[in-house]
Amino acid sequence: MLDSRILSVQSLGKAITLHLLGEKQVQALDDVTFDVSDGEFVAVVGLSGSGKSSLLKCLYRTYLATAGSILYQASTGQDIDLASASEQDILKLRRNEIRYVPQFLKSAPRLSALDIVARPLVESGYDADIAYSEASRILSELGIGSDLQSSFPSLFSGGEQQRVNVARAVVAPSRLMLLDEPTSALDAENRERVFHQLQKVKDGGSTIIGVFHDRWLLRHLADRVVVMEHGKVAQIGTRDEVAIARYVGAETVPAS
Amino acid sequence: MTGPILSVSDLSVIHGNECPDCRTSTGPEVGTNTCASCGAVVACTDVSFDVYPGQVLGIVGESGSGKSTVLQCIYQDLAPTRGDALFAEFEQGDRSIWQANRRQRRELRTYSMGMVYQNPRQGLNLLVTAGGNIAERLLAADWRRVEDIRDTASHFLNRTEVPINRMDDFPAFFSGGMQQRVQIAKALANNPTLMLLDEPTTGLDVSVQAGVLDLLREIQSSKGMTVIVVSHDLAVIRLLADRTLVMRHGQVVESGLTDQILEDPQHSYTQLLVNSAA
Ligand SMILES: Nc1ncnc2c1ncn2[C@@H]1O[C@H](COP(=O)(O)OP(=O)(O)OP(=O)(O)O)[C@@H](O)[C@H]1O
Ligand SMILES: [Mg+2]
Ligand SMILES: [Zn+2]
Repeated sequence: MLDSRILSVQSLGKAITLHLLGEKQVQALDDVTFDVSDGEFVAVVGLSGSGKSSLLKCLYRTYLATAGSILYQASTGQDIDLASASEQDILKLRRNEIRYVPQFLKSAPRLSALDIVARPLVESGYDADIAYSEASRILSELGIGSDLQSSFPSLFSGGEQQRVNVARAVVAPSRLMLLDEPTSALDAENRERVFHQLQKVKDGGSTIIGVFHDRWLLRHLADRVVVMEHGKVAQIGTRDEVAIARYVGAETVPAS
Repeated sequence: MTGPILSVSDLSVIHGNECPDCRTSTGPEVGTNTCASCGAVVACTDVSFDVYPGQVLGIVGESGSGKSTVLQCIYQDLAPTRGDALFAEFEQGDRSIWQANRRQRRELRTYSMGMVYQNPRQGLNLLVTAGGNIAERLLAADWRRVEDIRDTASHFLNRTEVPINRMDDFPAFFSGGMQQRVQIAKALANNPTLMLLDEPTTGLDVSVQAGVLDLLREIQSSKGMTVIVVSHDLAVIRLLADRTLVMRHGQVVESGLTDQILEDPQHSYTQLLVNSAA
Protein backbone atom coordinates (compact mmCIF):
# COMPACT_ATOMS: atom_id res chain seq x y z
CA MET A 1 0.00 0.00 0.00
CA LEU A 2 1.17 3.50 -0.70
CA ASP A 3 2.20 5.68 2.18
CA SER A 4 -0.59 8.21 2.41
CA ARG A 5 1.21 10.38 4.94
CA ILE A 6 1.37 14.01 3.79
CA LEU A 7 2.99 15.53 6.88
CA SER A 8 5.23 14.23 9.59
CA VAL A 9 6.00 16.61 12.44
CA GLN A 10 8.95 15.30 14.44
CA SER A 11 10.10 16.69 17.79
CA LEU A 12 9.19 20.17 16.68
CA GLY A 13 10.29 22.91 19.03
CA LYS A 14 9.93 26.67 18.94
CA ALA A 15 11.76 28.85 21.43
CA ILE A 16 11.35 32.60 21.16
CA THR A 17 13.99 34.91 22.57
CA LEU A 18 12.67 38.32 23.57
CA HIS A 19 15.73 40.52 23.26
CA LEU A 20 13.86 43.56 24.50
CA LEU A 21 12.74 41.84 27.69
CA GLY A 22 16.11 40.91 29.11
CA GLU A 23 16.60 37.97 26.72
CA LYS A 24 13.57 36.23 28.18
CA GLN A 25 12.92 32.82 26.60
CA VAL A 26 9.47 31.59 25.71
CA GLN A 27 9.01 27.95 24.79
CA ALA A 28 6.06 28.11 22.42
CA LEU A 29 6.37 24.50 21.23
CA ASP A 30 8.20 21.60 22.80
CA ASP A 31 8.79 18.19 21.28
CA VAL A 32 5.66 18.16 19.14
CA THR A 33 5.32 14.96 17.13
CA PHE A 34 2.44 13.76 14.97
CA ASP A 35 1.64 12.57 11.45
CA VAL A 36 -1.13 13.63 9.12
CA SER A 37 -2.52 11.49 6.32
CA ASP A 38 -3.40 12.82 2.91
CA GLY A 39 -7.00 14.10 2.95
CA GLU A 40 -7.30 14.06 6.71
CA PHE A 41 -9.00 16.77 8.76
CA VAL A 42 -7.01 17.35 11.93
CA ALA A 43 -8.40 19.71 14.55
CA VAL A 44 -5.99 21.36 16.97
CA VAL A 45 -7.50 22.32 20.32
CA GLY A 46 -6.09 23.65 23.57
CA LEU A 47 -6.35 26.48 26.04
CA SER A 48 -5.22 29.96 25.18
CA GLY A 49 -1.44 30.13 25.00
CA SER A 50 -0.99 26.39 24.55
CA GLY A 51 0.81 26.79 21.21
CA LYS A 52 -1.93 26.17 18.64
CA SER A 53 -1.17 29.17 16.43
CA SER A 54 2.57 28.72 16.88
CA LEU A 55 2.19 25.23 15.51
CA LEU A 56 0.34 26.40 12.40
CA LYS A 57 2.82 29.23 11.94
CA CYS A 58 5.76 26.84 12.09
CA LEU A 59 4.08 24.66 9.47
CA TYR A 60 3.70 27.72 7.23
CA ARG A 61 7.20 28.99 8.13
CA THR A 62 5.89 32.26 9.48
CA TYR A 63 7.74 31.04 12.56
CA LEU A 64 11.21 29.54 12.29
CA ALA A 65 11.32 26.24 14.15
CA THR A 66 14.18 26.00 16.64
CA ALA A 67 14.17 22.19 16.89
CA GLY A 68 12.89 19.18 15.01
CA SER A 69 11.58 18.80 11.50
CA ILE A 70 8.37 19.06 9.50
CA LEU A 71 8.48 16.63 6.61
CA TYR A 72 5.94 17.50 3.96
CA GLN A 73 5.36 15.19 1.05
CA ALA A 74 4.89 17.55 -1.85
CA SER A 75 2.59 16.78 -4.77
CA THR A 76 5.73 15.95 -6.74
CA GLY A 77 6.37 13.12 -4.28
CA GLN A 78 9.42 14.89 -2.91
CA ASP A 79 9.86 15.09 0.87
CA ILE A 80 10.53 18.68 1.95
CA ASP A 81 11.42 19.76 5.48
CA LEU A 82 9.32 22.88 5.94
CA ALA A 83 11.47 23.84 8.92
CA SER A 84 14.63 24.14 6.85
CA ALA A 85 13.63 24.41 3.17
CA SER A 86 14.91 27.38 1.18
CA GLU A 87 12.80 30.52 1.06
CA GLN A 88 12.27 29.95 -2.65
CA ASP A 89 10.94 26.43 -2.03
CA ILE A 90 8.62 27.74 0.67
CA LEU A 91 7.29 30.51 -1.57
CA LYS A 92 6.67 27.97 -4.31
CA LEU A 93 4.76 25.67 -1.95
CA ARG A 94 2.73 28.61 -0.69
CA ARG A 95 1.87 29.52 -4.25
CA ASN A 96 0.96 26.02 -5.32
CA GLU A 97 -0.10 23.84 -2.44
CA ILE A 98 -0.01 25.21 1.09
CA ARG A 99 -2.37 27.92 2.28
CA TYR A 100 -2.59 29.60 5.65
CA VAL A 101 -5.83 31.25 6.67
CA PRO A 102 -5.43 33.66 9.57
CA GLN A 103 -8.17 34.22 12.10
CA PHE A 104 -9.04 37.62 10.75
CA LEU A 105 -9.03 39.13 7.32
CA LYS A 106 -5.96 41.18 6.48
CA SER A 107 -6.72 42.87 3.26
CA ALA A 108 -5.46 45.61 1.07
CA PRO A 109 -7.36 48.88 1.13
CA ARG A 110 -9.65 49.76 -1.78
CA LEU A 111 -10.63 46.18 -2.52
CA SER A 112 -14.24 45.07 -2.31
CA ALA A 113 -15.18 41.74 -0.73
CA LEU A 114 -15.74 40.39 -4.23
CA ASP A 115 -12.30 41.57 -5.42
CA ILE A 116 -10.66 39.91 -2.45
CA VAL A 117 -12.35 36.58 -3.01
CA ALA A 118 -11.89 36.61 -6.79
CA ARG A 119 -8.21 37.47 -6.58
CA PRO A 120 -6.86 33.97 -5.80
CA LEU A 121 -8.71 32.66 -8.86
CA VAL A 122 -7.50 35.48 -11.10
CA GLU A 123 -3.97 34.95 -9.88
CA SER A 124 -4.15 31.28 -10.69
CA GLY A 125 -5.15 32.10 -14.24
CA TYR A 126 -8.94 32.05 -14.40
CA ASP A 127 -10.83 34.48 -16.61
CA ALA A 128 -12.06 37.46 -14.63
CA ASP A 129 -15.69 36.61 -15.52
CA ILE A 130 -15.46 33.12 -14.15
CA ALA A 131 -13.46 34.22 -11.11
CA TYR A 132 -15.99 36.88 -10.19
CA SER A 133 -19.05 34.73 -10.64
CA GLU A 134 -17.48 31.94 -8.61
CA ALA A 135 -16.46 34.42 -5.90
CA SER A 136 -19.96 35.83 -5.82
CA ARG A 137 -21.51 32.38 -5.55
CA ILE A 138 -19.33 31.40 -2.58
CA LEU A 139 -19.91 34.69 -0.80
CA SER A 140 -23.66 34.24 -1.22
CA GLU A 141 -23.44 30.72 0.15
CA LEU A 142 -21.69 32.19 3.16
CA GLY A 143 -24.50 34.68 3.64
CA ILE A 144 -22.72 37.73 2.21
CA GLY A 145 -25.30 39.26 -0.12
CA SER A 146 -24.59 41.20 -3.29
CA ASP A 147 -24.75 44.65 -1.68
CA LEU A 148 -22.08 43.68 0.84
CA GLN A 149 -20.04 41.97 -1.84
CA SER A 150 -19.33 45.23 -3.56
CA SER A 151 -18.36 47.17 -0.45
CA PHE A 152 -15.16 47.30 1.60
CA PRO A 153 -14.64 44.61 4.24
CA SER A 154 -12.95 47.12 6.54
CA LEU A 155 -16.50 48.38 7.20
CA PHE A 156 -17.89 44.90 7.94
CA SER A 157 -18.67 43.30 11.28
CA GLY A 158 -16.18 40.80 12.69
CA GLY A 159 -18.30 37.84 11.66
CA GLU A 160 -18.81 39.18 8.13
CA GLN A 161 -15.08 39.77 7.74
CA GLN A 162 -14.41 36.27 8.92
CA ARG A 163 -16.75 34.84 6.31
CA VAL A 164 -15.03 36.84 3.57
CA ASN A 165 -11.79 35.38 4.89
CA VAL A 166 -13.20 31.86 4.66
CA ALA A 167 -14.57 32.54 1.19
CA ARG A 168 -11.15 33.64 0.00
CA ALA A 169 -9.64 30.47 1.43
CA VAL A 170 -12.12 28.00 -0.02
CA VAL A 171 -12.60 29.62 -3.42
CA ALA A 172 -9.41 27.98 -4.65
CA PRO A 173 -8.62 25.26 -2.12
CA SER A 174 -5.03 24.18 -1.85
CA ARG A 175 -3.62 20.75 -1.13
CA LEU A 176 -2.85 21.57 2.50
CA MET A 177 -4.96 24.14 4.32
CA LEU A 178 -3.90 25.61 7.66
CA LEU A 179 -6.84 27.32 9.34
CA ASP A 180 -6.46 29.39 12.48
CA GLU A 181 -9.87 29.68 14.17
CA PRO A 182 -11.91 30.48 11.09
CA THR A 183 -15.17 30.31 13.05
CA SER A 184 -14.33 32.19 16.24
CA ALA A 185 -16.60 35.17 15.57
CA LEU A 186 -19.56 33.33 14.10
CA ASP A 187 -23.04 32.51 15.32
CA ALA A 188 -24.50 29.03 14.93
CA GLU A 189 -26.12 29.72 11.57
CA ASN A 190 -22.99 31.10 10.01
CA ARG A 191 -20.88 28.39 11.54
CA GLU A 192 -23.00 25.91 9.66
CA ARG A 193 -22.44 27.82 6.45
CA VAL A 194 -18.70 27.65 7.04
CA PHE A 195 -19.05 24.00 7.90
CA HIS A 196 -20.60 23.27 4.51
CA GLN A 197 -17.76 25.07 2.74
CA LEU A 198 -15.12 23.20 4.70
CA GLN A 199 -16.91 19.93 4.08
CA LYS A 200 -16.70 20.62 0.35
CA VAL A 201 -13.00 21.39 0.59
CA LYS A 202 -12.47 18.16 2.46
CA ASP A 203 -14.51 16.18 -0.06
CA GLY A 204 -12.36 17.75 -2.76
CA GLY A 205 -9.38 15.94 -1.23
CA SER A 206 -7.59 18.74 0.62
CA THR A 207 -5.83 18.02 3.87
CA ILE A 208 -6.92 20.42 6.59
CA ILE A 209 -5.22 21.27 9.87
CA GLY A 210 -7.28 23.76 11.80
CA VAL A 211 -7.59 25.35 15.21
CA PHE A 212 -11.20 25.10 16.36
CA HIS A 213 -13.12 25.88 19.50
CA ASP A 214 -16.40 24.62 18.24
CA ARG A 215 -17.49 21.22 19.43
CA TRP A 216 -20.21 20.75 16.85
CA LEU A 217 -17.80 21.48 14.02
CA LEU A 218 -15.21 19.18 15.53
CA ARG A 219 -17.68 16.36 15.82
CA HIS A 220 -18.80 16.67 12.23
CA LEU A 221 -15.56 17.38 10.47
CA ALA A 222 -12.50 16.27 12.42
CA ASP A 223 -10.98 12.89 11.70
CA ARG A 224 -8.51 13.37 14.51
CA VAL A 225 -7.90 15.83 17.29
CA VAL A 226 -4.56 17.09 18.61
CA VAL A 227 -4.80 18.51 22.12
CA MET A 228 -2.06 21.03 22.96
CA GLU A 229 -1.01 21.91 26.49
CA HIS A 230 1.91 24.19 27.40
CA GLY A 231 3.45 23.78 23.96
CA LYS A 232 3.27 19.99 24.00
CA VAL A 233 0.89 17.46 22.53
CA ALA A 234 -1.16 16.30 25.51
CA GLN A 235 -3.43 13.93 23.62
CA ILE A 236 -3.97 12.82 20.08
CA GLY A 237 -6.60 10.54 18.65
CA THR A 238 -9.92 10.30 16.87
CA ARG A 239 -12.57 12.73 18.04
CA ASP A 240 -14.13 9.99 20.17
CA GLU A 241 -10.86 8.97 21.77
CA VAL A 242 -9.74 12.28 23.20
CA ALA A 243 -11.37 14.24 25.99
CA ILE A 244 -11.94 17.66 24.53
CA ALA A 245 -14.55 19.02 26.93
CA ARG A 246 -12.10 21.42 28.58
CA TYR A 247 -11.01 22.96 25.34
CA VAL A 248 -14.13 23.57 23.34
CA GLY A 249 -17.35 25.40 23.95
CA ALA A 250 -20.64 23.75 24.73
CA GLU A 251 -22.29 22.12 21.80
CA THR A 252 -24.45 24.58 19.95
CA VAL A 253 -26.46 22.80 17.34
CA PRO A 254 -27.30 25.00 14.38
CA ALA A 255 -30.97 25.84 14.25
CA SER A 256 -32.22 24.32 11.04
CA MET B 1 13.55 26.27 -10.71
CA THR B 2 14.50 29.63 -12.11
CA GLY B 3 17.51 31.38 -10.68
CA PRO B 4 17.78 34.95 -9.46
CA ILE B 5 17.37 37.83 -11.86
CA LEU B 6 19.75 39.95 -9.80
CA SER B 7 22.41 38.73 -7.46
CA VAL B 8 24.24 41.30 -5.36
CA SER B 9 27.29 40.24 -3.40
CA ASP B 10 29.41 42.07 -0.86
CA LEU B 11 28.28 45.55 -1.81
CA SER B 12 30.09 48.25 0.12
CA VAL B 13 29.84 52.01 -0.25
CA ILE B 14 32.25 54.12 1.73
CA HIS B 15 32.21 57.91 1.53
CA GLY B 16 35.63 59.28 2.38
CA ASN B 17 39.07 57.74 2.62
CA GLU B 18 38.74 54.18 3.74
CA CYS B 19 41.00 52.87 6.49
CA PRO B 20 41.56 49.33 7.82
CA ASP B 21 39.27 50.03 10.80
CA CYS B 22 36.23 51.09 8.77
CA ARG B 23 34.69 47.62 8.78
CA THR B 24 35.10 46.89 12.49
CA SER B 25 34.35 50.36 13.82
CA THR B 26 30.93 50.62 12.16
CA GLY B 27 27.76 48.54 12.00
CA PRO B 28 24.83 47.56 14.19
CA GLU B 29 26.95 46.25 17.06
CA VAL B 30 28.97 49.46 17.22
CA GLY B 31 25.89 51.62 16.71
CA THR B 32 27.26 53.98 14.08
CA ASN B 33 28.14 54.12 10.42
CA THR B 34 30.92 56.65 10.88
CA CYS B 35 34.41 55.22 11.28
CA ALA B 36 35.99 56.53 14.49
CA SER B 37 39.52 56.16 13.08
CA CYS B 38 39.21 57.95 9.75
CA GLY B 39 35.83 59.66 9.80
CA ALA B 40 34.59 57.94 6.65
CA VAL B 41 30.85 57.28 6.39
CA VAL B 42 30.30 53.61 5.75
CA ALA B 43 26.93 53.82 4.00
CA CYS B 44 26.77 50.05 3.56
CA THR B 45 29.08 47.07 3.87
CA ASP B 46 28.96 43.47 2.73
CA VAL B 47 25.37 43.62 1.57
CA SER B 48 24.43 40.47 -0.34
CA PHE B 49 21.06 39.31 -1.62
CA ASP B 50 19.27 37.68 -4.53
CA VAL B 51 16.15 38.89 -6.28
CA TYR B 52 13.99 36.35 -8.09
CA PRO B 53 11.82 36.99 -11.14
CA GLY B 54 8.30 38.10 -10.33
CA GLN B 55 9.08 38.60 -6.67
CA VAL B 56 9.24 41.66 -4.46
CA LEU B 57 12.21 42.16 -2.17
CA GLY B 58 11.72 44.66 0.64
CA ILE B 59 14.55 46.52 2.34
CA VAL B 60 13.56 48.04 5.66
CA GLY B 61 15.53 50.03 8.19
CA GLU B 62 15.75 53.38 9.88
CA SER B 63 16.95 56.58 8.31
CA GLY B 64 20.65 56.35 7.43
CA SER B 65 20.77 52.55 7.48
CA GLY B 66 21.93 52.41 3.87
CA LYS B 67 18.75 51.29 2.14
CA SER B 68 18.70 53.98 -0.53
CA THR B 69 22.41 53.59 -1.10
CA VAL B 70 21.79 50.00 -2.19
CA LEU B 71 19.11 51.04 -4.67
CA GLN B 72 21.17 53.91 -6.03
CA CYS B 73 24.03 51.53 -6.76
CA ILE B 74 21.74 49.14 -8.63
CA TYR B 75 20.29 52.01 -10.67
CA GLN B 76 23.83 53.31 -11.21
CA ASP B 77 23.19 56.68 -9.64
CA LEU B 78 26.08 55.85 -7.36
CA ALA B 79 29.27 53.84 -7.92
CA PRO B 80 29.97 51.30 -5.18
CA THR B 81 33.32 51.08 -3.44
CA ARG B 82 33.26 47.35 -4.06
CA GLY B 83 30.91 44.50 -4.75
CA ASP B 84 29.31 42.73 -7.67
CA ALA B 85 25.82 42.70 -9.09
CA LEU B 86 25.00 40.08 -11.66
CA PHE B 87 21.88 40.95 -13.61
CA ALA B 88 20.21 38.56 -16.02
CA GLU B 89 19.84 41.28 -18.68
CA PHE B 90 23.46 42.34 -18.61
CA GLU B 91 25.82 39.98 -20.42
CA GLN B 92 23.75 36.99 -19.32
CA GLY B 93 24.76 37.67 -15.74
CA ASP B 94 28.41 36.84 -16.44
CA ARG B 95 29.84 40.22 -15.46
CA SER B 96 28.91 42.72 -12.78
CA ILE B 97 26.77 45.68 -13.86
CA TRP B 98 29.26 47.81 -11.95
CA GLN B 99 31.82 47.01 -14.59
CA ALA B 100 29.58 48.28 -17.36
CA ASN B 101 30.74 51.20 -19.46
CA ARG B 102 28.78 54.42 -19.72
CA ARG B 103 26.75 53.39 -22.73
CA GLN B 104 25.84 50.07 -21.16
CA ARG B 105 24.87 51.77 -17.93
CA ARG B 106 22.60 54.11 -19.82
CA GLU B 107 21.04 51.16 -21.63
CA LEU B 108 20.37 49.35 -18.37
CA ARG B 109 18.60 52.41 -16.98
CA THR B 110 16.69 53.01 -20.17
CA TYR B 111 15.56 49.52 -21.09
CA SER B 112 15.87 47.22 -18.12
CA MET B 113 15.21 49.16 -14.93
CA GLY B 114 12.77 51.73 -13.64
CA MET B 115 13.21 53.84 -10.54
CA VAL B 116 10.67 55.66 -8.40
CA TYR B 117 12.35 58.11 -6.04
CA GLN B 118 11.00 59.26 -2.71
CA ASN B 119 11.14 62.83 -3.95
CA PRO B 120 9.27 63.22 -7.26
CA ARG B 121 11.68 66.04 -8.15
CA GLN B 122 14.38 63.43 -8.64
CA GLY B 123 12.37 61.27 -10.99
CA LEU B 124 10.40 63.94 -12.81
CA ASN B 125 11.14 67.12 -14.62
CA LEU B 126 8.50 69.30 -13.01
CA LEU B 127 8.75 71.88 -15.76
CA VAL B 128 7.90 69.40 -18.48
CA THR B 129 4.28 68.22 -18.82
CA ALA B 130 3.20 64.91 -17.33
CA GLY B 131 2.95 63.44 -20.81
CA GLY B 132 6.27 65.05 -21.76
CA ASN B 133 8.00 63.35 -18.84
CA ILE B 134 6.95 59.98 -20.13
CA ALA B 135 7.86 60.96 -23.67
CA GLU B 136 11.39 61.82 -22.50
CA ARG B 137 11.86 58.31 -21.28
CA LEU B 138 10.43 56.77 -24.45
CA LEU B 139 12.55 59.02 -26.67
CA ALA B 140 15.64 57.89 -24.75
CA ALA B 141 14.63 54.37 -25.70
CA ASP B 142 14.51 55.41 -29.38
CA TRP B 143 10.76 55.68 -29.76
CA ARG B 144 10.13 57.96 -32.72
CA ARG B 145 6.47 58.02 -33.71
CA VAL B 146 4.67 60.81 -31.94
CA GLU B 147 1.33 58.99 -31.96
CA ASP B 148 2.86 55.90 -30.33
CA ILE B 149 4.51 58.02 -27.68
CA ARG B 150 1.31 59.87 -26.94
CA ASP B 151 -0.75 56.70 -26.82
CA THR B 152 1.71 55.04 -24.48
CA ALA B 153 1.91 58.09 -22.23
CA SER B 154 -1.86 58.26 -21.93
CA HIS B 155 -2.05 54.50 -21.39
CA PHE B 156 0.33 54.61 -18.43
CA LEU B 157 -1.14 57.77 -16.94
CA ASN B 158 -4.49 56.07 -17.14
CA ARG B 159 -3.01 52.96 -15.55
CA THR B 160 -1.70 54.98 -12.62
CA GLU B 161 -4.99 56.86 -12.34
CA VAL B 162 -3.77 60.29 -13.38
CA PRO B 163 -6.69 62.02 -15.12
CA ILE B 164 -5.92 62.13 -18.82
CA ASN B 165 -7.00 65.75 -19.03
CA ARG B 166 -3.96 66.58 -16.87
CA MET B 167 -1.55 65.04 -19.37
CA ASP B 168 -0.50 68.38 -20.77
CA ASP B 169 -0.16 70.08 -17.40
CA PHE B 170 3.04 70.57 -15.44
CA PRO B 171 3.54 68.17 -12.49
CA ALA B 172 4.87 71.12 -10.50
CA PHE B 173 1.23 72.00 -9.88
CA PHE B 174 0.09 68.46 -8.98
CA SER B 175 -0.51 67.15 -5.49
CA GLY B 176 2.23 64.96 -3.99
CA GLY B 177 0.17 61.82 -4.59
CA MET B 178 -0.42 62.69 -8.21
CA GLN B 179 3.25 63.56 -8.79
CA GLN B 180 4.11 60.15 -7.43
CA ARG B 181 1.62 58.53 -9.82
CA VAL B 182 3.20 60.34 -12.76
CA GLN B 183 6.60 59.16 -11.60
CA ILE B 184 5.34 55.59 -11.44
CA ALA B 185 3.83 55.92 -14.91
CA LYS B 186 7.17 57.21 -16.23
CA ALA B 187 9.10 54.37 -14.61
CA LEU B 188 6.65 51.82 -16.02
CA ALA B 189 6.56 53.23 -19.53
CA ASN B 190 9.54 51.23 -20.83
CA ASN B 191 8.22 48.04 -19.35
CA PRO B 192 11.28 47.53 -17.16
CA THR B 193 12.28 44.08 -15.99
CA LEU B 194 13.32 45.39 -12.59
CA MET B 195 11.46 48.13 -10.76
CA LEU B 196 13.18 50.00 -7.94
CA LEU B 197 11.03 51.86 -5.44
CA ASP B 198 12.65 54.17 -2.90
CA GLU B 199 10.12 55.11 -0.22
CA PRO B 200 7.36 55.37 -2.83
CA THR B 201 4.76 56.62 -0.33
CA THR B 202 6.80 58.49 2.26
CA GLY B 203 5.75 62.10 2.46
CA LEU B 204 2.24 61.45 1.20
CA ASP B 205 -0.89 61.84 3.32
CA VAL B 206 -1.94 58.58 4.91
CA SER B 207 -5.12 58.39 2.83
CA VAL B 208 -3.13 58.99 -0.38
CA GLN B 209 -0.50 56.44 0.65
CA ALA B 210 -3.05 53.64 0.70
CA GLY B 211 -4.11 54.36 -2.86
CA VAL B 212 -0.56 54.53 -4.24
CA LEU B 213 0.41 51.35 -2.42
CA ASP B 214 -2.56 49.47 -3.67
CA LEU B 215 -1.87 50.64 -7.18
CA LEU B 216 1.73 49.42 -6.93
CA ARG B 217 0.63 46.10 -5.54
CA GLU B 218 -1.95 45.64 -8.23
CA ILE B 219 0.44 46.56 -11.07
CA GLN B 220 3.12 44.31 -9.62
CA SER B 221 0.87 41.28 -9.34
CA SER B 222 -0.85 41.71 -12.68
CA LYS B 223 2.45 42.16 -14.57
CA GLY B 224 4.44 39.73 -12.42
CA MET B 225 6.99 42.51 -12.12
CA THR B 226 10.23 42.08 -10.20
CA VAL B 227 10.60 44.81 -7.60
CA ILE B 228 12.96 46.01 -4.90
CA VAL B 229 11.14 48.33 -2.51
CA VAL B 230 12.93 50.36 0.13
CA SER B 231 10.95 51.75 3.05
CA HIS B 232 11.29 52.59 6.70
CA ASP B 233 7.59 51.77 6.99
CA LEU B 234 6.76 48.19 7.90
CA ALA B 235 3.22 48.62 6.56
CA VAL B 236 4.63 49.17 3.05
CA ILE B 237 6.87 46.14 3.39
CA ARG B 238 4.01 44.01 4.73
CA LEU B 239 1.80 44.88 1.82
CA LEU B 240 4.31 44.56 -1.00
CA ALA B 241 7.29 42.36 -0.18
CA ASP B 242 7.65 38.58 -0.45
CA ARG B 243 11.05 38.63 1.22
CA THR B 244 12.66 41.30 3.34
CA LEU B 245 16.13 42.47 4.35
CA VAL B 246 16.49 44.45 7.55
CA MET B 247 19.36 46.96 7.52
CA ARG B 248 20.97 48.94 10.28
CA HIS B 249 24.06 51.16 10.26
CA GLY B 250 25.01 49.93 6.82
CA GLN B 251 24.65 46.20 7.39
CA VAL B 252 22.01 43.55 6.87
CA VAL B 253 21.02 42.33 10.34
CA GLU B 254 18.42 39.84 9.22
CA SER B 255 16.59 38.58 6.16
CA GLY B 256 13.70 36.23 5.57
CA LEU B 257 10.18 35.76 4.28
CA THR B 258 8.30 38.97 5.06
CA ASP B 259 5.68 37.40 7.31
CA GLN B 260 8.45 35.64 9.23
CA ILE B 261 10.40 38.87 9.67
CA LEU B 262 7.25 40.58 10.95
CA GLU B 263 5.93 37.82 13.19
CA ASP B 264 9.10 36.06 14.29
CA PRO B 265 11.90 38.63 14.14
CA GLN B 266 15.19 37.17 15.31
CA HIS B 267 17.46 40.17 15.75
CA SER B 268 16.95 42.57 18.66
CA TYR B 269 16.81 45.51 16.26
CA THR B 270 14.06 43.88 14.19
CA GLN B 271 12.14 43.08 17.36
CA LEU B 272 12.36 46.73 18.31
CA LEU B 273 11.23 47.83 14.85
CA VAL B 274 8.26 45.46 14.84
CA ASN B 275 7.26 46.30 18.40
CA SER B 276 7.34 50.02 17.88
CA ALA B 277 5.18 49.71 14.77
CA ALA B 278 2.52 47.65 16.54
N1 LIG C 1 27.17 61.29 -0.50
C1 LIG C 1 27.26 60.99 0.80
N2 LIG C 1 28.24 61.44 1.57
C2 LIG C 1 28.35 61.12 2.86
N3 LIG C 1 27.47 60.34 3.49
C3 LIG C 1 26.47 59.85 2.77
C4 LIG C 1 26.29 60.15 1.39
N4 LIG C 1 25.20 59.51 0.94
C5 LIG C 1 24.70 58.83 1.98
N5 LIG C 1 25.48 59.04 3.06
C6 LIG C 1 25.28 58.48 4.37
O1 LIG C 1 25.18 57.08 4.24
C7 LIG C 1 24.25 56.60 5.18
C8 LIG C 1 23.19 55.74 4.46
O2 LIG C 1 22.35 56.58 3.70
P1 LIG C 1 21.07 56.09 2.92
O3 LIG C 1 20.54 57.25 2.18
O4 LIG C 1 21.39 54.89 2.13
O5 LIG C 1 20.12 55.74 4.11
P2 LIG C 1 18.60 55.26 4.06
O6 LIG C 1 18.57 53.99 4.78
O7 LIG C 1 18.07 55.30 2.71
O8 LIG C 1 17.95 56.39 4.96
P3 LIG C 1 16.51 57.16 4.82
O9 LIG C 1 15.56 56.25 5.43
O10 LIG C 1 16.76 58.40 5.64
O11 LIG C 1 16.31 57.45 3.39
C9 LIG C 1 23.71 57.83 5.94
O12 LIG C 1 24.45 57.99 7.13
C10 LIG C 1 24.00 58.97 5.00
O13 LIG C 1 24.16 60.19 5.68
MG1 LIG D 1 16.40 56.37 1.90
ZN1 LIG E 1 37.95 54.16 8.64
